[in-house]
Amino acid sequence: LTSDLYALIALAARYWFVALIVTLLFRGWRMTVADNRRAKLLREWMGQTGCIGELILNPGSKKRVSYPIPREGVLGRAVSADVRIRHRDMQRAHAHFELREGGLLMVPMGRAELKVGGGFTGEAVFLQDGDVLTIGKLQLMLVLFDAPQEEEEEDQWFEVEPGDAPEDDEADEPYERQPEVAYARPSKRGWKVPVTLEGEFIQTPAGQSHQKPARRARQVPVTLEGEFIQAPIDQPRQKSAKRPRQVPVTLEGEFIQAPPQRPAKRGRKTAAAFELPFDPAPVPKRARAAQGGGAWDGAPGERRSPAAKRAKSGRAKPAAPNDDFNEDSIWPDL
Amino acid sequence: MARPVETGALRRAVMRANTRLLLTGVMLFQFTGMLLLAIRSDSFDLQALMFAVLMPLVTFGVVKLFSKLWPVDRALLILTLLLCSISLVTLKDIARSSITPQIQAVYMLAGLVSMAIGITFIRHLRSWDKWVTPLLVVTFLALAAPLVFGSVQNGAKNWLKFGSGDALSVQPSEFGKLSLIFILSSRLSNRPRFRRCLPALLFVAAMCGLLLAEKDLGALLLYFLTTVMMFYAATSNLPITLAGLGMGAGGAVAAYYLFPYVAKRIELFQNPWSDPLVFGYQVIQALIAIGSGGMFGMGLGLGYPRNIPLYHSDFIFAAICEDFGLVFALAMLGIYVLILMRGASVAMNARTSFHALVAFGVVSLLAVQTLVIVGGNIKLIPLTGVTLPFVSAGGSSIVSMMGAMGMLLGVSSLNAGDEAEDLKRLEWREGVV
Repeated sequence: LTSDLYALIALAARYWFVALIVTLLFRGWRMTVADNRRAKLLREWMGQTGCIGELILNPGSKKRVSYPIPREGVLGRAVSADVRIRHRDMQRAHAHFELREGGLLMVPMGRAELKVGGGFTGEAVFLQDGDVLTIGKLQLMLVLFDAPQEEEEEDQWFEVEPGDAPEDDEADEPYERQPEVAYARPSKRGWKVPVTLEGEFIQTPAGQSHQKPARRARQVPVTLEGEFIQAPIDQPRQKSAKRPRQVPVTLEGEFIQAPPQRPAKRGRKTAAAFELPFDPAPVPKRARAAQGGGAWDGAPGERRSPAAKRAKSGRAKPAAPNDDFNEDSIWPDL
Repeated sequence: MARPVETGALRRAVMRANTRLLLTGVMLFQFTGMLLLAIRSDSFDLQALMFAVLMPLVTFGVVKLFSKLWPVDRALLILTLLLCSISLVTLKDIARSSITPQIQAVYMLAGLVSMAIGITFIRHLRSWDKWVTPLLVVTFLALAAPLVFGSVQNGAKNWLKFGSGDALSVQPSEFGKLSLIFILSSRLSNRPRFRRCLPALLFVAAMCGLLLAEKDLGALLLYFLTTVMMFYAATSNLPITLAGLGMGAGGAVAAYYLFPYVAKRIELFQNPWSDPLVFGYQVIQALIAIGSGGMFGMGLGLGYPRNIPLYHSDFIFAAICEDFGLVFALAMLGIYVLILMRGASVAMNARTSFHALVAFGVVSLLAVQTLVIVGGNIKLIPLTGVTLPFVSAGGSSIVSMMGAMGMLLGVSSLNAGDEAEDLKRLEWREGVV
């Protein structure tokens, strides 16, 4: 090319390059905004985003209160704590926790003390799924979402070896004899179980995460009625099942859909900072008497506890019925 | 019976943004830029033609390969490759020798390998504490080595040269940045008290002392500011952070009075025309180049940025302004801002404080380095000799910065894995199909 022609092309190409990089900048900006919006929406939809488990307050009590825990953070009473439990036995920054292989490493901060089970320990403790942490009068049971299930739960499954599958003409017999175990049990946490339908069996895959560790594929007989799987009578560990329950199923992408027990609560701002649904402050004896007797008989000017105030004004929250508790629901309302 | 939630909005929400347009745009830039340079002379420039074909192919292959191997943030990767492309196109235009862009291309390939190593390292790192002591020792020795074996280049004794005829020269302070980020992330993670931070801070102080002895003021500034930013991010301790900044300012004032070359830099910053032919020549030529470029530049291949000393390394921003114009240069700074925004997002979404600090450290380093050199080019702040990340020519710089970007991409891939796990749980729970 002659230098004049090249200069002409180069001068024209300046606008092309500017247009190109401005387009790329604009596109990158749109993508960044969209990605941030997506992350925000996900956090709103799932307040527990990024959590690896939960601490269940006073396991065994009627009211189920749980605190989602992130992978790493501080447990304490302060506002800045990642898992905030407002209780007098809890220090402002009580312990630092961190997910390690197979459990949660918890290191007390300052003069805080931690007890696991009944034993005392002042140094770092390693909590595993199901361990109970004792802090003063608080008992916190650790539930890890990705913890491997115990082997003893294996017997809840109706297992058929691949070579032991019943013949076609005998296929109906197990359903009549053992309807109580003939179902594809949704995970106790209400998650979907990936399956493939083969004849009248549900083939569950081996080694699912979030499932109990399966050594081999299982075949579970089912009865399909329309779009429902007939659930068994008296499921083990299923407290609320009094009669045969129908589990809705959507067969899309080879997944059986386990129903959530309750709709998810939306609009949570933070993942891990929750408050106790009861007043954690110690209630004076006189206030307790007032709650029992009705009228507040304290001296004029004496401080009335918030619980007594609520009881007096009639704005006390009714306690959540115990029937709401269901092990299929991993995210109960707090 | 529980009804599955409305899925359309969530489906749209969880869909990752499409990077096809971004990738196509970068490849188009590479192809058209190099093609224009190929027809500059009477005969076709074969090297430029080769670049025009190979660069889009390598870009496409790297994006596809990395995306297939790890769930990295593709936009971050593509934007980084765009900056590398701007570098190669500009170098191809302004370099006196045709070997310069060729060597830089080889360095960039090495940088891509370094990036892959960075991603793999971060993804497979389980226990980072045990790496701290060896890295600390190696970094200290590497930074101290130029004092004994090094050679002076551009006023600083911070280069190590190897091979016959000094074929290979390495700047240890460039690689020390990665160690700095890693060591600080490890020691400052898990919300430490100040006493626990002290060893790491003393180590940084020792490194800064070494850099001061080597007269490498640019690296010293980067190390110091990155450390302060990471300390504040890790501890939220404002009084100590301000005290650190105050100490830095006091040190700068002391250096002004103690070291003549620092005083000279400040003097040139205030008035480069006081010595227009020797010390102020660089800044004056850079300002002339930026001004002569105008809004849309003089055109690729039509500028004369070679008048600027170090036009291909420290002053490449001025050369870009002259060739492509102010709008293009501002858009390029916008690309840096996008990278910083996405990096900050990666840091905020990281699930452990170590990974968050690694990402934040890389972002801080990138931001400070870009600000320092661009500010020095346009006479906003006193000039210090650092490179423009991903754009300036130089092997140590490009390999170390690509390694740092690899660490950032590694954290982003870990985030993506965790997010996918969350989405899976959400699907299982809500019935989103």
